Formats: sequence, C-alpha cells, structure tokens
Amino acid sequence: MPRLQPVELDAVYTSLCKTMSRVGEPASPLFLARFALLAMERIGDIAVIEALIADAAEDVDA
Amino acid sequence: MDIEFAAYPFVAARHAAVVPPLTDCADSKRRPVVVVGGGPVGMVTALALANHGVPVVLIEADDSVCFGSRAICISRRSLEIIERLGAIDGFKRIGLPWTGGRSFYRDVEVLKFSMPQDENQKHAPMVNLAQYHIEQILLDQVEARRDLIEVRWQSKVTAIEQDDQGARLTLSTPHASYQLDADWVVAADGGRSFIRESMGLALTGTSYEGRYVIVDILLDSARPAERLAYFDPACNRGSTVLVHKQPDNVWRIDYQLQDGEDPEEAVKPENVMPRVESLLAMMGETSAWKPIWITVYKANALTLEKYRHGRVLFAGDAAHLVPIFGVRGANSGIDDADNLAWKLAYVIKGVASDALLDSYSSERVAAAHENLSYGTKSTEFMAPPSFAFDLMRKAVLSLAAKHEGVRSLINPRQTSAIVYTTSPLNAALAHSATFDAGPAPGAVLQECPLTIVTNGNASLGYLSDLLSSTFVLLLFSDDGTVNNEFMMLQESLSCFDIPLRVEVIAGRSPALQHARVTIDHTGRLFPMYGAENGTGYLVRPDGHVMARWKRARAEEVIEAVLRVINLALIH
Repeated sequence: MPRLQPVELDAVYTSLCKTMSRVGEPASPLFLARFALLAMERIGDIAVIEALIADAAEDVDA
Repeated sequence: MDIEFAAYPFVAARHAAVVPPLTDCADSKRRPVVVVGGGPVGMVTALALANHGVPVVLIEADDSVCFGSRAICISRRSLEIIERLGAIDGFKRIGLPWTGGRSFYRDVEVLKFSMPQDENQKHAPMVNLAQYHIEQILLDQVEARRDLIEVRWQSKVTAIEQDDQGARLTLSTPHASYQLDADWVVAADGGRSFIRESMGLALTGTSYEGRYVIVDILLDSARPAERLAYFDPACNRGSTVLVHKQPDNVWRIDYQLQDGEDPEEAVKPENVMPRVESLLAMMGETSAWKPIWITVYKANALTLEKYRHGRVLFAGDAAHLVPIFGVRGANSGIDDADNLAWKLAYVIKGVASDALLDSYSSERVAAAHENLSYGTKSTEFMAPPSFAFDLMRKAVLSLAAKHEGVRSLINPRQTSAIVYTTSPLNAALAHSATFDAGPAPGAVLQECPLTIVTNGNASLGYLSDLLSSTFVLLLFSDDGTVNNEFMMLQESLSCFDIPLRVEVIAGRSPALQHARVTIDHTGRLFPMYGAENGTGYLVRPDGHVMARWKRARAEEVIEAVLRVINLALIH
C-alpha cells in the first residue's frame, strides 16, 4: 500500500480537521464514523482493518 | 503574596537623543536611505547597506536595545547573513547552539527530532540567545560602522509623506521636532508599525484565539539546549508547555492557556508561580529559581500584500506577523533585510533600475506566505483553534508512541531557508533542468568546507565565504585552468561597472598559481553541485542561486546579470 509523505499527511490531517470544524461538534462522531466506514471499504483487507481497529482502541480511554 | 522577581542578567546602555543641524526645522542634509526601527531587522538592513558602501540614518524610538522576552532562536540561515555583516563572533560567543528537541505526551516521549546537520556545515542549525543580546551584538557592529551608519536614538516618526522622488519623515525627539528627507525609507518599525498604519495599509490573514503565557525565569541548570515540548503534562493537565534554554541561566517557558481561562488573571505572578514550580518539579529541576518576566502571547498569521509602496519598503514585523511556533519571526525579518539591502544599494548607486525593488516585494511576500503556511500548521497543533484540531491532536499524541507514521505531525517544522522558486530574477531555467544535484535557481547555496588560496596563502574556509557584495560566478574546473573567455571577463568587468566576480573552484590543486583559487579538498563539492569541468553557478549577493550552467559561457553569465540589474527587460 502507498504511504503518505509527511507533507501529504499534514495536508490531509488539516483537511480533516477543517471539515470536522465545519460539520460541528455534535455531528462529528457520525462524520468520523462515516469516514471510518469509507476508509474500511477502500482498504479492502480484513486483516489490516481488524488490526487498525485494535490499534485505535488500545488505551483510548487512558 | 510577595513574589521576588530577578532582573535579566543584562544591563542596556542608555543612548542620548541627537538632533542634527537643522535648517527651517529640517535636517539640512537629504539622505539616500533612512531605516526606521533599531531592532534586529533595522540594524541588519543598515549593516548590509553599509557593506555596500551606502550611508544610512537609523531611527530608533527608544533609548536602548530592547527589553523583555522576545526572539530567542537564530537560525543557520540568519547566522550566514550575520556573518557577512561581520557580526558573527558575538553570536558564537554568547549563543547556545542546538540541533533538535523532544516532545512528550503525558510522561511518554513521542517525538525526537533533529534539524539538518552534517560535517559540511559551518554553523549550527540554531542558536539561542536573548533578543537584547542579538540587538547588542548588532549594535556593536553598527557602532563599528559609524563611518556610514548614523543612529538617532529617542527619535519617533510622527508623520510620513512621499512623492516620486522620496519621502519626508517628521521626527519627534525630547529636544526638537524636525523633518528628514530621504530618497528611500525602510520601515522596520515592528508589529505595530507607525509607518504602516499612517499609510493606511492593513495586514491580512488570520488571528488565533489561543493564548500562551510566556515566562522567562532565572534557573541554574546544566540541562542541554534543545526544544522541549510537553503535551498534557502531569504538571499542567490539558495544557501544552514549551521549554527553551537561553544563555546566562535564563529559561523560556511557554504554556498554553485553556479555554475559559482569563489571560489577565493568568499572568498574575501568584497564578504563574505554581505552574512553573510544578513543571520544574516534573522535569527534575530542584534548584531555586525566580521569575524575570511574564507576558501573554496570541498567535497571528498576517502579512501586507506588497512590501514596496513607492519609496517606502516594509521589512520584518512591520511587513508580516508570523506565529512564534517554528521561530520564523526574527529570522524571516533578517532574511527580508538581506534580500532588500543589495537591491536597494544597487538602485541607490545607480547600478540597477528601481524595478529591482519590486522583486524584493514579490520574493519576500512569497516567502512570507510559505512561512505563514508552516507557522499556521504549527499553531493549529500547538494552540488548536477548534474542537476538531484539539480532538485530532489528542489522536496523534496518543498514537505516536507506538505508531511512528504519525509522529511527523508533532514535528515543530522549524524555520529553514526559503527557496525563491518563482522569482523573476531566476534565469537560464532550461540549463538548470539538466542538473541532477545542487541548488536550483532561487535556492540558497549548500554549504561545504573548501580550501581558499589567496596569493599563495591557503586557508580552510567554506563556500559561503566566497559570497560578496557583487554577484559571484562559481566556476568549476577540474585542474584550476579556466577558459580564455573567463580570463578576459574577469578583466573587463571592472571597466564596465558590472557587479560580478568570478571565483574558480578547482577539483585538485592547480599547477598554475592564480591570485585566487578555491580547492574542493574534500571532493564533496563537485558531486553535491552536480558540477563538471566548466560548470558555473551564478550567485546573488544574498547567497541565492540565480542561474547555473553545466558548461558556462561568459556571454550568458553577463547577460543574466545585466537582465537583473536592468529589470525593465523582465516586465
């Protein structure tokens, strides 16, 4: 899978933040859920997705 | 609560106001250039103009160098500029060099970064010293150049008007008010520039709401100089804290105020002391300490759209305000001054047309936009402007310890030399495109150690030592011999008053003794510049490459220089 360069990661990170700011705080969980769903569908690899779910969950409430 | 403050370990000399001989309430002498503002940017401008032999009057409203917590980080690029002004020694003597830093999330280190540093470099990527040091070192050099620079302390500009030929400033001093006429005015009068405001010019961009408390303290600690960032630290939950070491046991601590905190309350010593105390305890610093200075900071990302307005040229904070994160404030102003000075000197001396000054504006406005885009990204991370940036930052920080791929988002994106990619001065781009290494037109020279032989005396030096107040052609030659046309070029330049010098760089010690030759004794320069026998790099007085040819021809080099100094041809 292609990896993002730091400057590309920077750009999409900012784009996500700005979009979420526009969507507003109440709708943000749904926005992030929809993004996650679309990303899973596009990743298309069950093992990768399961690993990402586990990584994201790890210590999330620390 | 009785809190004892320490003084900065520095005593600024006071300078008397001087009023020149007046005729009808005006300075009897018209000046080629007046620089308004005696901060780092104004002094660098004055020194650089003096390097070109241009006399300067430097106007400063105060009676001494600055006070309080201001710029503390000076970049390698700024050091290169300062060295050309003859002021590097003080920076090396006082400044604390550093190369990187560490960021922590809670108590876990999540990023260790380093700035570019290798054996080819002459200067550290960054040195820390207080702005009063920066100004004092520059002022010492300004005073050494009193043959060309006249400083007028305690002189405040109260009016400015201009026409096609120049500008008239009204200056107020404790003794008298008078007028001063100049062909050109450089407005380096800071973030609240009077000149900018009185000309009705407005900065545009973004102002951020997030606030930081900035505290300078006196603390004896052997901890090395590096940039420390603590996100959500145990000592100040939910906040972000930055720590920088300065000379003389002064430490700079910046911490973010949280939503709903009242800045006026927050800067009260009784509210600052416990936060600093708990930070130091967390860092394991046990020595006694005292506060020196407390202030509050709010990030701005603003610029003028043009830096040339007729006969008035804006530089530094008067032209743009960049956020502190990434240390681009003073450094970008020093870069402005260096870009402006040679162009203005050429115009004043009649070497170049005044259209050259428009390229100061276009190059430095483009640089400001680049600085602002990095500064904005840093600010959005350091002082998240919305719940979304805040939430995403928490995601980055909590993943960074285990997921290296996200760590670049924490990197503070420290200032680095700007490339004038779209500069109207860049030339021979088709020739440049044939190189697979080396700085392209618009980029600054890459440093490399060299042996410089002058009249048979060899000394160890660096590529940047070859820069001068003229354009320089770096002519690469395997054995030090150069084409006849370049031998003739050398001789004809002075007759035609073309500001160009040729520096021959030999791959090995030449058999023939020139008055001057430079040897690539490490063998690193040729490959670093993609150079072959006959390759030429044409370099501007500010160290930016203007053109390069695999096989340089004298005629093309001359043409490139003439094109720039008669900029009318470009428009």
